[in-house]
Amino acid sequence: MKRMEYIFATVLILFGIGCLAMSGSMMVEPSLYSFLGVLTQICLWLLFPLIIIGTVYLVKKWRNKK
Amino acid sequence: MNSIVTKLGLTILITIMVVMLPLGFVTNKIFSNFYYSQIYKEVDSLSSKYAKTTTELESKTMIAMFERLAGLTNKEIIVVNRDGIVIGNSGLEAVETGSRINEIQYKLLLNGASVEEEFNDRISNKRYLTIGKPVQKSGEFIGAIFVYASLSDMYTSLEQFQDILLLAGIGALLIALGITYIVSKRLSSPLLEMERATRKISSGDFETRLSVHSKDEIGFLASAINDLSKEIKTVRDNRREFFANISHELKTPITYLEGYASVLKKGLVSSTEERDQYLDIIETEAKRLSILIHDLSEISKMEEGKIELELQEIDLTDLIKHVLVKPMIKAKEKGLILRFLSNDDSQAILGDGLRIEQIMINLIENAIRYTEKGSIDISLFTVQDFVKVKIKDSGSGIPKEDIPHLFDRFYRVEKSRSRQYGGSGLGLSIVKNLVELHGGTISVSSKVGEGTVFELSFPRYKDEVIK
Repeated sequence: MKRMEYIFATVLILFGIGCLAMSGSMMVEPSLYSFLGVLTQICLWLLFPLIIIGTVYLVKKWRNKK
Repeated sequence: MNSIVTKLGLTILITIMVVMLPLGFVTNKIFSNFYYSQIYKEVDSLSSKYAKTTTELESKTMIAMFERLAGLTNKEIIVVNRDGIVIGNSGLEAVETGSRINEIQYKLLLNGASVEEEFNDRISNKRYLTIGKPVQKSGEFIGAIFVYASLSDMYTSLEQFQDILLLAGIGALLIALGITYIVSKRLSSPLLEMERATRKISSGDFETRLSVHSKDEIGFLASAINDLSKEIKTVRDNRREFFANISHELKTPITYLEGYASVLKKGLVSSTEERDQYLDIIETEAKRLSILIHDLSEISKMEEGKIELELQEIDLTDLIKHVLVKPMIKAKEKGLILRFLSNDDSQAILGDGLRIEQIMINLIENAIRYTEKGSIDISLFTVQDFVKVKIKDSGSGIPKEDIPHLFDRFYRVEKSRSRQYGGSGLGLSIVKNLVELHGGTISVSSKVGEGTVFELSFPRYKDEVIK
């Protein structure tokens, strides 16, 4: 993959996270603090499956090596 | 549109949308139903309480109390008398005091049933959920109380919720798009690399190799392409070598034939002995040519799978004893000892007798040809389900580097002395093909100066093999 393609994909993901954070903080008093709070939580939720997949992958790789 | 990235991307995108759109609809429905049921319960509870606790409707005090209650509960209340005429209104603009309620509703209330509807106030442009309950005194219908709860707040909240849901959906879709783009690119890039590699291979660049990164189907495919490239290269090299060898092998006897025939034709011979010598050479070369063509035809048939074996039970002990008669004379002429060792067990295999004879004769004659002194030992024995034949000679041996090529067509260990030893250079190649056609294997081990051992292995014959 070229660098431009990675940038394009990253921008799409960042915009997506932004939209989610905005919708998550829409009902409360609009402030940067609440937006950033929701943004952090969304990032953690996104990381959660990635951590699980990563752990499974590493365990599988370690077992294969063994 | 034909790119795999587009196809994969669109497929994943459509899958996400197929999941997200109904999910969004259901979420919206859950929220609106939840809100509505909350309002319904509240209005139903209020109207029931009012209807139960009221004993009189027509007094001004009571109507004023209902108007105050409406203000406190943030609901609108309408009081109707026993004739269905509105006698109290807390502030609903579309319902006038003194007007009559709907006839159907009135009849229902008269029968003790409650009524409910979604009411649209055209003047204030507001929507209400209304529930009317009959008020009874000593079992007699004395009027009804209608409680109106505004649905506008619910619809405004729902609209806001729908906007939020849409924004969240767009966000999720963008994340999915980004991840899909990376995944589809990463999945398709090895395929594109393979496409480029196969095009290179098809254009004749057989040195092309793919780097195998993964142990999945894509990795296996890359590995298979590499194997294919290697195999095609081997086939091409073999074909080139074969044509070079065959032209050389054919050219040599033909040159002899032409040369000696020309000498004889021109009468350039001084004696009868010389003429006979030349005729002997012509005969030998013609035989060599004939053997070569026969062997070529055999090998070609084998490679095309056109050889049909007449399979039957063969006792290898008897077969080898029978085969040894002819080479025994040659061995004696060279002063070699030819020994055959076999135990008494049944050494039967399933094979074509003539072809097995051909294999044995070829290997034994080879051993005699390349052995100048000493012995040739043939042993026959059984190991588990296999019958093995070992042909061991005390000849000059084969250098280690020549052993892997021994069964190649036209491969000769001592190229300079090939004419002295004779043979077409195809014998071992034919032997290997025939052994494999019988489901057997052939291996060779050798040490220079000590001799060579050829080991044949055939599946042992069992009755059930042909049943």
